[in-house]
Amino acid sequence: MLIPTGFKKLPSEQGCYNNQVLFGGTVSQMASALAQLTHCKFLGQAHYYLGQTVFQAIGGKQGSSQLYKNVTQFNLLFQSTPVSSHLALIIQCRSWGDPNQSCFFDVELRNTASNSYSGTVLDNGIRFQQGSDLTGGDFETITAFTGTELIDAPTNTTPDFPRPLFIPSANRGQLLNLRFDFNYVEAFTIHIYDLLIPEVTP
Amino acid sequence: MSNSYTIPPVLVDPSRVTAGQTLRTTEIAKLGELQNYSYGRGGCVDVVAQGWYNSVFRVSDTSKTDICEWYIPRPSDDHNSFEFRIACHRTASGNKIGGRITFPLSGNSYEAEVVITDTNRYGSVFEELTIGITADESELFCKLTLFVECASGYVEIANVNGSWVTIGSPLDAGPLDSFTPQGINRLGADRPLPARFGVNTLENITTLRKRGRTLLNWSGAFSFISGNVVPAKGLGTFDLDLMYSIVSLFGGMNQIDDLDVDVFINVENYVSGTFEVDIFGYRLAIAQNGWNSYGLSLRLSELENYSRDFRQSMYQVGLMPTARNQEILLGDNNRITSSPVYIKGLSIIGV
Repeated sequence: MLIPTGFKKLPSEQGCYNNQVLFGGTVSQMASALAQLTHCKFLGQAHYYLGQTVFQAIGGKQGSSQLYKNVTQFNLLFQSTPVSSHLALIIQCRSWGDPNQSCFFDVELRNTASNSYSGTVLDNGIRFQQGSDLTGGDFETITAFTGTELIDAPTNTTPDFPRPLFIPSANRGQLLNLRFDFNYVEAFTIHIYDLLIPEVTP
Repeated sequence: MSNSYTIPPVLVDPSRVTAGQTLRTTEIAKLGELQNYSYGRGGCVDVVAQGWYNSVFRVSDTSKTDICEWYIPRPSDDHNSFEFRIACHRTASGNKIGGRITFPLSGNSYEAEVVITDTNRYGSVFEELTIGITADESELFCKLTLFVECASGYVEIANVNGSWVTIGSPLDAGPLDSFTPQGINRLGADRPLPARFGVNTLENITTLRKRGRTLLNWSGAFSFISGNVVPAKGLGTFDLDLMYSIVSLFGGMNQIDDLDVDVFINVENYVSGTFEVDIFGYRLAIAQNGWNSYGLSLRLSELENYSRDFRQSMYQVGLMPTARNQEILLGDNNRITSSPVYIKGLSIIGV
């Protein structure tokens, strides 16, 4: 079934009254509208804004300060749904523009059993590398994107090229941990999206 | 089971609901289950998410002190449990962190707190607390507040995240909040299919379409350990480049009643006069100190590339990079020490 991505106008409820001929279109529109809700509107998303220090006298962020050059880690939680399968990421960041320095960040997917940060790895994940996946100078804000390819279950044991993360079927609907390890890269925002599957077999 | 649903939801075979086909119980039962599933689980995803770098957000208040606040959507007035997760650590035992949900119209609030266990950043486990709504509350937007109470030392927050707890199958007997649960037994073979089923289904879909989705949520830090550098209290000029989300908004929103986007802006130091902010394609005038709310229809242009990638209509939703915003946000020419009006919270909730 094709998943609609918009709110189509619903049929008149008078078409459902007694003594009316119920055309297939009425029921079909109901089925279509419910598929839009379950498989499109109610997909998960999380938008993380990562706060850095600002000068107390100013009170807000007025520009990039010094780059966080050390290895920095974030464990960002994401509530998936039973229809979640692939997670796309959009990350606004900047990297240290020195070509002699290895600038990259890795993302892997873990479960959150017992609220632990070190849950079982569900997807060994991906690496964004300066030069190939991250371009721009020291003070330039850039956007890193995994793309939205609906990949099969990955088998990599070390970080892969950027691609959506894959949620095993047993973990769909669970709270997940996206672990980010930044090396000479500084993220400002991280956006996590359930990907829409455009066609679902009933 | 009556009012039950399956996980994951099973869609209706479109080839079985075209004109000329017999209306089978299989398809009708699936229609009922999809409605029950959507009511119980739809919208129970992340409604708040925010993080801070290492050594940025440290709080040492020894009395219970509010440190952040967001507006969040509530799926229905039957969703009465909220799970708030906080990645944090403390330097002294007994330091606590908690969350409070406040309903602005009724004025009622509900809270929960926990003693922090970790002693270093991402040490072992994140804290998870469940805030229960124990009285009947009919509001579908509420405020979520993060608070801290230290015995000594300080608490450092790494990130927060929260979602409403789903309502399991089967749903309670209805009618619920503008929703009529579908008794699955009644949709089985050899049962009469009343006109009421069709009418209820259309009403249910209309109700479910209005459920809120958090598109952007940000709070400044209200209290922290003082120093030369601290977490941001308000939006600054650099946030013009950052404070937006790329999100899907659905075609037909503007053609159907009550499907709008709600913008909530929390301002500080406003007394009177003109203070306007450019957000979501509108110039919004602040009317009062504290939270201001606006119901807006979609008037932004679609992002062609992201729409193609995500296979749905995507938009850039948030603070707009305009000259006016550049003037009013905190920065070198508009320092917080001069007590300007500033934005200390921004929540955008779509349908």
